Amino acid sequence: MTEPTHYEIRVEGILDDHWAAWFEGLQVTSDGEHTTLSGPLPDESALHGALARIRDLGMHLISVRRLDIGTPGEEAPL
Amino acid sequence: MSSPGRPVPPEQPEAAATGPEILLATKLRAPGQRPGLIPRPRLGQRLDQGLGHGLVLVCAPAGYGKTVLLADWVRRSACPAAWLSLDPGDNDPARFWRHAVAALDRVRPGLSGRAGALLGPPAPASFEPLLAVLINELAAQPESAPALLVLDDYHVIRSAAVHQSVEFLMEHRPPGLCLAIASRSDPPLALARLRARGLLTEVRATELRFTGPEAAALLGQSLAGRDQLPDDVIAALASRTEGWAAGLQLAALSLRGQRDLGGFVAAFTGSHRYVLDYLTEEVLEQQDEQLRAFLLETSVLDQLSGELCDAVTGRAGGQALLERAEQSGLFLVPLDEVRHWWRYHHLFADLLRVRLQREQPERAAQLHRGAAAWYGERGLADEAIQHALAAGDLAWAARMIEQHFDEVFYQRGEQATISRWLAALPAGLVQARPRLLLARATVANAAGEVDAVEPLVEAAQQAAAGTQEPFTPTVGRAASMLANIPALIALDRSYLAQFRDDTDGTAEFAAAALAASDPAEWLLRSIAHGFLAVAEWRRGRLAAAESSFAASSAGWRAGGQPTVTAWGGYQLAQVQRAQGRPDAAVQTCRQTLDITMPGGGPPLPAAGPAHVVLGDIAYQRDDLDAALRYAADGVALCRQFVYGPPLAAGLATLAWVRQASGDPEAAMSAMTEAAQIAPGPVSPLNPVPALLARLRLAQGDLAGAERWSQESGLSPDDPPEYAREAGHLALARVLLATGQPGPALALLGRLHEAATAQDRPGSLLEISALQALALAAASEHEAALTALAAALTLACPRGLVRVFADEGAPMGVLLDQLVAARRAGQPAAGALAPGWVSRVQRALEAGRSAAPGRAGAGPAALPEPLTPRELQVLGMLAAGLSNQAIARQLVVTLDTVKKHVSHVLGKLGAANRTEAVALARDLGLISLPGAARRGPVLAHSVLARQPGHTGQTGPDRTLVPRPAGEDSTRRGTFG
Repeated sequence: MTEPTHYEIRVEGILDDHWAAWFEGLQVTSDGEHTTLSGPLPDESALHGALARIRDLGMHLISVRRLDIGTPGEEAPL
Repeated sequence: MSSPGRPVPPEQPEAAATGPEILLATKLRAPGQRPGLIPRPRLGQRLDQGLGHGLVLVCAPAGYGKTVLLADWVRRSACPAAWLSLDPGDNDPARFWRHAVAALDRVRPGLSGRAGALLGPPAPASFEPLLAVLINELAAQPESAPALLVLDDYHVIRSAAVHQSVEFLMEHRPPGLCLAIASRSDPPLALARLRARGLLTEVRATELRFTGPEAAALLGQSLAGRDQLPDDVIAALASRTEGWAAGLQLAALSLRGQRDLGGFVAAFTGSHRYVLDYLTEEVLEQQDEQLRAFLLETSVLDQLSGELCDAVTGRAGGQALLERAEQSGLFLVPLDEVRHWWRYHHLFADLLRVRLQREQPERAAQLHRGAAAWYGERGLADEAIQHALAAGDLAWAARMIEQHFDEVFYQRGEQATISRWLAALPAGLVQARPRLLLARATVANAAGEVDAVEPLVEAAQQAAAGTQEPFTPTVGRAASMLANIPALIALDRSYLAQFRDDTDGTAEFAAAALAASDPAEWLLRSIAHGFLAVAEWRRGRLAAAESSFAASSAGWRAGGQPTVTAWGGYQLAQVQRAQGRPDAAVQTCRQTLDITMPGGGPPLPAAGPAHVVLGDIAYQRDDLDAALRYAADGVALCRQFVYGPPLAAGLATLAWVRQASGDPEAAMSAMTEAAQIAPGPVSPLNPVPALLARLRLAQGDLAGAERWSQESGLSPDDPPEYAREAGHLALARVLLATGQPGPALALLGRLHEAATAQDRPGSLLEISALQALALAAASEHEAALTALAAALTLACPRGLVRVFADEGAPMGVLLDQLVAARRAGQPAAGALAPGWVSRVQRALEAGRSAAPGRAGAGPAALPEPLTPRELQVLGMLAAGLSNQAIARQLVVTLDTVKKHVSHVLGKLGAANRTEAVALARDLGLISLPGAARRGPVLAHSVLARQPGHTGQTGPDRTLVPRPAGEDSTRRGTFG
């Protein structure tokens, strides 16, 4: 099994944390205007599944980030 | 017109349907209107423009009103519209196209009867032949208004096979079809190209947003009877929801119950909460507890009926609640006229499910369990299995999969559905259940993953020891493969032996499968008989092969499967022909035609193989006119048939007819196509590579023939082996043509001995004819005449002429010598029926005088033959296509088409298109009206160029009539 990858997905609008179960257990936090879904996903298919769910709710996507690469101060694996 | 399709008018109450088709009708109907539809003429006009362009794409996120827009358009449009609401189950191309054909049948009645046979059983290896039929059927009615095919919710499709086939339909879209696709995301369909060609009309989120006046109309409705909404409120709500239909709709609902309108609007517009989350809560709070609980609990269902809701909630009154919910505008979409089935708006269902999960996390599983049981009792396997999986009832789902496997895999050809089900089960569960392991082995076979099969079969054998679970397949035991575990294991082992070229093992395990099965188990036994027959055939035991093929064929016939019966009949006829019993082969073909041309009506594609054999036998008997007719029709039909070998054989016969009629160029072109469809090696079921080598020799291409003999791996020193006999006979001809009668004689001698030992007169007569030529070349004149007389004696009662005539000049010389010897009373000349030798001589003489371009029949009858492109254009003229349609089809300019048409008229000496088509039919340039209507538009232009479109033939193991594709080499482009 490959290691799960950590992702951070930001969307417009505020979602309650009860949406976590809807998004494969990603952590749901909001800052008053935007919501951040973050946490480990087993693979890229799961990421696309989460993105499809955002699409299916008609929410606006702001950004998607893999947390283990390109993050200042963190070494990229491989 | 005879169409076995449904004669059911679309207006029949859909609620009356039973069985697995209960829900089909709801997919094929544009969803009904919810109350309060806001007319949006600006979008309607946009769609109307798109009708002429061919493809309409309505693409926007969830809740933008795509379905409502299209359904309203379809209801107003003058065009007959076919509607298909897609769901995730449609990721199986077999299911997708079955549904699409059923939808199109409503606007082109009878279509599903004509196209249905191509959906299987057996499962088609490629969907292009089906699409070719659809395209030609839709193209054949240029005078009627174009049909519209709406594919709603296309974003649920992830299957590359489905995308490819939809793209194929779009690329070859006939003028009689407009495709409208609604999707939440852009489908992967080469949109840029379509856009560039001006073929795409798009309606996207920007256009779908409600304008100020539209929003005012929508919101105003909710306040009917109350004061008008102030403009600033409307503006605020439209801005907060960004003109999003779902948001506005929910806002309108929320407004209804508000005492403090201003307060509500201020709170809502001031909040940053996800619009729908906010509004759904508002709306739910306004409902009474009973309705609120009902909405949450039934949100787990993809379709809702009163009865189903009662079963799931455990409470009565579902129907009344559904009607109340619909009247209250709670996003319930009616799926039929009789208010029997509804679905929630997908977005609203998601919002309800999230709430259910939050408020009663344990309840969902229980609800799913109830739904699984309800669907299971009604035979709706996919729905039952999905709910059982959602409920975590894996063992229950596993049993359901086993019970439905035969039906879904073999009868409906939905291989991708089976794969999806199996993939959802944990490996440990599968490992303990022999039937699931065998189901997986079958799927692996179909996917060409032969290496995966053996371990699965071994594991099934292990697991079988421990299971004694009662098993009732939905198709009944007789039509089930999974019912009889030991027999199926033996059958799989027989199949694996075929892949190892282990003929003895194949026969042994097939016999074991037969021994382990009950006489009533026709499906299993038909396949086992087929395996056994192929093994016997390869071993040269033709009588045994014949009786096994006959048993296999009879089983398929009794099982009511025309396509496989036709395939079994084809193999049976080929064995009979190889035995030197052409009359028996003709009889077999006639029996097959009884079921493949029902009532003497237009032939099904499955009639193709019998036409091919009849053409071959007519050719062997030197009836070139009949041979041409049968072969041309056979080829046209076989282009739509699921197995490739008959198409290759038909093309080979066409090649020989053309060669005999003095058109070597056309002959080689047909033979080359045959060889592409049926590449080597040579085998009893695939003589085509040897026939290509022979044609090269007949055309004086000695180098080409020699190259083949080197590449074939055959040697004159090989031991005689029936499986390679056709190859060895071609090799003997190459040896003779290159002046090596010695090795040829040695080889032929061994073949003769083997054929004598196995009593194969069909082989003996050809071997003897070649021995005569070889002996003559070795200057053993008397022996040559004896051999020739023996061959003629065998051929005479069978009426076989071409076996001599196709050998050309050397045979002519030898026949003259034989006649002279008989006049001189030499005993070697033997006793022959009067007139027989001269008949053979006449055939040879005719061939010699058939100089290119001057033959008595067939395409060569024209002073200046048509080019392949002109033939293609001619086929399209015959199908009634306009110049524009032809230009589009061939992707050339209109001027080019006009040029082709004028050449065709000129060469045929025809005054107009109608006359050209009539003349072309008389000359056999195009096949009979029935066959022409079905075939030519695409058959020549597109499909012929795509290797594998009919399923290429590999070694004999690929040719067994297993209902599902069992070899990667047979898998088509979409496999």
